[in-house]
Amino acid sequence: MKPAMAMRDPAAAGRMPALTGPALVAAVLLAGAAAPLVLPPFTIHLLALVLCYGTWAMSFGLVMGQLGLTSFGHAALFGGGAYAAAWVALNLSDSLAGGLAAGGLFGAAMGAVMGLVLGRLSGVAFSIGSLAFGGMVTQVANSWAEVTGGSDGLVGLPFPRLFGRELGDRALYAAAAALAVLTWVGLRALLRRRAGLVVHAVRDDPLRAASSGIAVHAVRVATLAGSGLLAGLAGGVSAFVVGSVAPSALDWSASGSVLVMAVVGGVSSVTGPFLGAVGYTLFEQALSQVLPNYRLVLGLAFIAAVLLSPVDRRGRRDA
Amino acid sequence: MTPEPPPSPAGAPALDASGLSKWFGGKQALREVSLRLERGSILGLIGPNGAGKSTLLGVLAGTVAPDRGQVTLGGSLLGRAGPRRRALSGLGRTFQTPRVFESLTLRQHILLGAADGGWGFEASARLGLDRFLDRPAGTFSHGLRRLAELCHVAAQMPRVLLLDEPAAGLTAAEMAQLDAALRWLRPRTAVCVVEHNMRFLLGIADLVTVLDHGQVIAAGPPGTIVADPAVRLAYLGASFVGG
Repeated sequence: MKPAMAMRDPAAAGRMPALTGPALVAAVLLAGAAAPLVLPPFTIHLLALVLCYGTWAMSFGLVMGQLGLTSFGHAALFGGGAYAAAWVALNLSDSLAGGLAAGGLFGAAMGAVMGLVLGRLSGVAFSIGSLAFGGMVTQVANSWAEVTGGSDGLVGLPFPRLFGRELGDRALYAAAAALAVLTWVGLRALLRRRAGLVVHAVRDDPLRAASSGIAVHAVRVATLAGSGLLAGLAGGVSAFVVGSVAPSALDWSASGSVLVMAVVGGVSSVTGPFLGAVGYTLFEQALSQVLPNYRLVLGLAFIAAVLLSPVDRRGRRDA
Repeated sequence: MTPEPPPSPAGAPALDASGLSKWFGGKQALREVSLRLERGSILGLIGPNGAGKSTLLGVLAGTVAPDRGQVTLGGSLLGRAGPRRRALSGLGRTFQTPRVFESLTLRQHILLGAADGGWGFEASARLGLDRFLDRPAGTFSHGLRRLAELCHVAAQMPRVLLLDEPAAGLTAAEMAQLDAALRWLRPRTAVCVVEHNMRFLLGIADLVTVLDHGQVIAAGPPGTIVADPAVRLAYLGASFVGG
């Protein structure tokens, strides 16, 4: 690996200006740290979920924005991690570390399988394949009731423990926040290195990349596995936050939600999908409080966001 | 000191292709084509449209599987190795329509080719591209993309360099820089150039192979090729004055 010396940031599009960036990041971290001290429990619970979705959206952005593959089955990685963490918590150990390890490893394994099976496809073919992959995983969750709880899912998770102490909502919020921050920092650092160049090369022109000695399929498998690791960890934390996991966490509509989050925030940067997840989740929550048919408004807002968004990373619209 | 690609075993040509044949349905695109590339020389590959030049380059680069024949690189049989394995074995290529990584800068293209830049930075300097090093290739003109792709491939320090119409779309100044860059690369590698610009090609090639209807109709030094009646009939035209 060659350090970033003399290279420009490949993920620079949409990056914050250098002088305001660190101050803004510090302000966000400070506000995030203060939140549990001043906000009511429901809000803390909601913010913990928002952070889980933010990490999930960043993992999705890694695949869609950086690798150039649009997955319609990414919920299988997030939900799969949630199921794995919940199953471990209910059957083996109520340790947070054990649950998250299971969630992360299961998500990574699911991502690797998706990459091994579908990683030679691109464009619509990959998207349709990922949709089918997600559908099969959802079917397994619905059918294998002895393990997954069937259509009811896995319910009644205990609060997890860390170093013998039971963790409440505030601690789970802290875990979700730590995961989001580590994901953000880690992805930005990774994409600035040679590995980031390789991923972007595969996205931009797979044949040129292969003709330059890059193992295109292996890069896709590794990136999907890495994305699955992050999605699985986020799913694991979300299972503990909610206290249950249901098949709806795996299905195509959940995959559609994370796609909307990432696209609204902007997939060309690491930060965009996270901001999209925050905005989408909070907006949906607020709308659902005041409008019975809030999804109609949500859909219109999404269309408006896409139409009004800056042009894509190559500076073009389709028409 | 400029780094060098691994040497071929004693006596082995940089690339040796023998008996290559390829059918597309009922049409035979290549008929028992053989050619040899030696380090320190530039081979020009010419012929009319549809003669099989791009198919031959595809077979050599591993994107087209031949029906018959074999290719060795530095004495090692390539078999059915795909483009990635051939690249790792020391075969670099550019495409007829230049293929670059749109989001990467020229500097990143070079560093992606080799962590230390290989021959890429020297090539970019000789091509006059230094002022474009930190611009994304997606913003480049057609000609610049062609040259940027060459820098990327040069960074890999290939044992064999296949160039598909490198001068197409270049301005006169860019062509002069390409000429200089290829002369600099010549002693370092073996170059095969497919090109329709005869004045450019005949000025730089040491040997020329002529394809027509998928088969070699002539091979030799540029002066001999230009005077060959079969080549003039099939491709150059009776009134051609070149060299």
